[in-house]
Amino acid sequence: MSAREAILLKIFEVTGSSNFGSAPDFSIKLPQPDYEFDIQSNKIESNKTDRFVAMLAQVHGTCEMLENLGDVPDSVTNYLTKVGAELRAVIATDEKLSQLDWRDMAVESRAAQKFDRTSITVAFAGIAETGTIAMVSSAQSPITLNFLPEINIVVLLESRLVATMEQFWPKIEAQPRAINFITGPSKTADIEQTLVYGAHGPRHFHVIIVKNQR
Amino acid sequence: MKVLSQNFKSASKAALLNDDLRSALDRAEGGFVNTRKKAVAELRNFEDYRTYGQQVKDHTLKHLGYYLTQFENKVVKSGGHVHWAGNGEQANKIILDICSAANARKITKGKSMVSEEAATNKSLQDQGYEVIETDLGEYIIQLAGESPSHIIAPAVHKSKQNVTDLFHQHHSRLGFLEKVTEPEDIVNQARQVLRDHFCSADVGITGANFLVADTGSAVIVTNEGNGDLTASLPGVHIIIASIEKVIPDLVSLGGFLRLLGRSATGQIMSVYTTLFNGPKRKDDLDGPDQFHVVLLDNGRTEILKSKYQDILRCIRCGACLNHCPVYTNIGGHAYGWVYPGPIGSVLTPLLVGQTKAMHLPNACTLNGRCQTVCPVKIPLPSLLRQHRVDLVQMGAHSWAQKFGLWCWYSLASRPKWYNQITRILVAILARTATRGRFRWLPLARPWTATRDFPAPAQSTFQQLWKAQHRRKT
Ligand code: SF4
Repeated sequence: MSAREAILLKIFEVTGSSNFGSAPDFSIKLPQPDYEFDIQSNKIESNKTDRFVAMLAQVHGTCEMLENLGDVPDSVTNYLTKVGAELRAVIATDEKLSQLDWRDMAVESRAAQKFDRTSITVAFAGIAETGTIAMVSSAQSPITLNFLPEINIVVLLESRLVATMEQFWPKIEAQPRAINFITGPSKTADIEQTLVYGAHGPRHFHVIIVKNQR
Repeated sequence: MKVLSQNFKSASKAALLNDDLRSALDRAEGGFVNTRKKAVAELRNFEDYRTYGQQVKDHTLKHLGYYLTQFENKVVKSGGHVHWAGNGEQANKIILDICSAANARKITKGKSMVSEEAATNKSLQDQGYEVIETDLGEYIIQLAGESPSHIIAPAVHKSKQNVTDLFHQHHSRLGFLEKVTEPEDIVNQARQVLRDHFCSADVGITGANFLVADTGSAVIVTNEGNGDLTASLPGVHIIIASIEKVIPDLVSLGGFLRLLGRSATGQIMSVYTTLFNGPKRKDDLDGPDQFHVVLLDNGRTEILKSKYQDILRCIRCGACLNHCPVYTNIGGHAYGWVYPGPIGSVLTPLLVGQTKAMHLPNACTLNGRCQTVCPVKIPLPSLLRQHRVDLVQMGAHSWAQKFGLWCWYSLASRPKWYNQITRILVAILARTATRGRFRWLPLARPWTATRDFPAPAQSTFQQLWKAQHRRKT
């Protein structure tokens, strides 16, 4: 008997075989999260953005709001200058980024490599409840860009902001190879409980929220 | 991992006398308890989520066969492989075969408690593979040649000075000649050393926090990002997970994520939560070519059959450790196996043998704090009490303990004798005490060695009760 059969047989003995064929009735309802901050209400649409920005700040992420997509290169240049980094970045192989006029920046579209310092990606969605960026892997969005570089800049279209994770799931049609939920820069508290940023992943996590896709 | 739980008594005594350990534990306890409290309060209906977590886990366990096979089908559909292992040895054999077929030499590892159960590192190293733990805490204890002392903060017992020395000892041959003493510098050095390993490893092994049956996703939650680098850079990704990790669907995942971060580290959401669905796709620019999931039983199906089924709901958040007065005083190593604290005291006897680990459930004070913080409402104190019942029925105790229990039983089941004898004892104690306390008492040395024993009141509770009753009527 294979290990598979042996394990399933033992489970049979306890749960009964009837459970194996047809799907069980799973009707337990997930509670709606109840916060002081009202993110569910549709009356105040800006609530979502406010909550997102507030939650991101709590986890040491930074944020900038822009009117147009075309303003992204200048904003990136300013940001990199401010943190004292080279004006060079690997960008996601996404049209939204590659069509931009990067002027002062040296950019390359590819997956990340060991010594890349800065990456720029496009978020699939943002989740306001937790200040989380959702990345969905694809040929246009290599996942190493999210983890290898020291500085990770994410462009989030404001229209892609959802209130909760439950509102995010239906946005995915076919399951991608990987979904990365990212909430702030990489960190560790393994040395005497002292919080240190930039453990293995990015030390700086900067989100640029863009209102219009122009 | 080798079982040393039988040495609990001597190990816990030694731990209590270790001042460095005690101060490390004090620091950690305060941090964990306070941050959890804050994060829990922020979600006003956290209690509803606990109930939800409990119900969903119970439902999944009731239909475990269905959900496991559904998960398997989905992983295979997305191009991955699923392997089943009855015990740790079988799991290690599967992993060794995958590594040798891939001509691997270097293996990076994300944190996995299940692989500690199976002693996977040792089995790989015995075959000549280089294995590198990549979670900073795990890396530190790997350098020290130790085992984790906390399920989410494996190196919580190590001081900064310990780490400084360890890094100096192991990293100087890599060209890091200066001692690093500040947390930032320590982390930065680890980052540099491990980066080389991430990029040159042939196989990455990680655990999983959840397996989502409906989509075939393995979910990994970390703060450092090491799990994702381990999973994404090498050509082969192996996930090792025990069978009770399965949950029905993505919606339920949302419920568990709200519970896990808050309970474990007091975070609203951990930094990285990743869902892996199989190997690299045709057009992908990165990701592993092979994706394997090893489903490990290692005693879970036996627990499923037993009175201890509730423990299979555990999501390994570590909250019960952080809130346990025994754990926070002796640390994790004294428990002698992979899982310390309340969860360990219930689980270890079930996985390694009740008599071997009999001191663990007996060390509990039954204060109940663990149960009130457990995100899936596991009745830990009742399960610990059940262990005690089992142990008595098995006759596992020493003759002295049996004799003591017999004396107590004989006395307590005869109210008249009980009244007489306690009355006499109390009267003697009350009269012989100096200034209301004892500096020394026979049979109570461990207590009186560090503090005085207060003398009882002149009369027993029963006497007082009667007297008052008489007055009223
Ligand atoms: S028993 Fe409960 S509190 Fe303890 S680790 Fe498991 S889920 Fe967390």
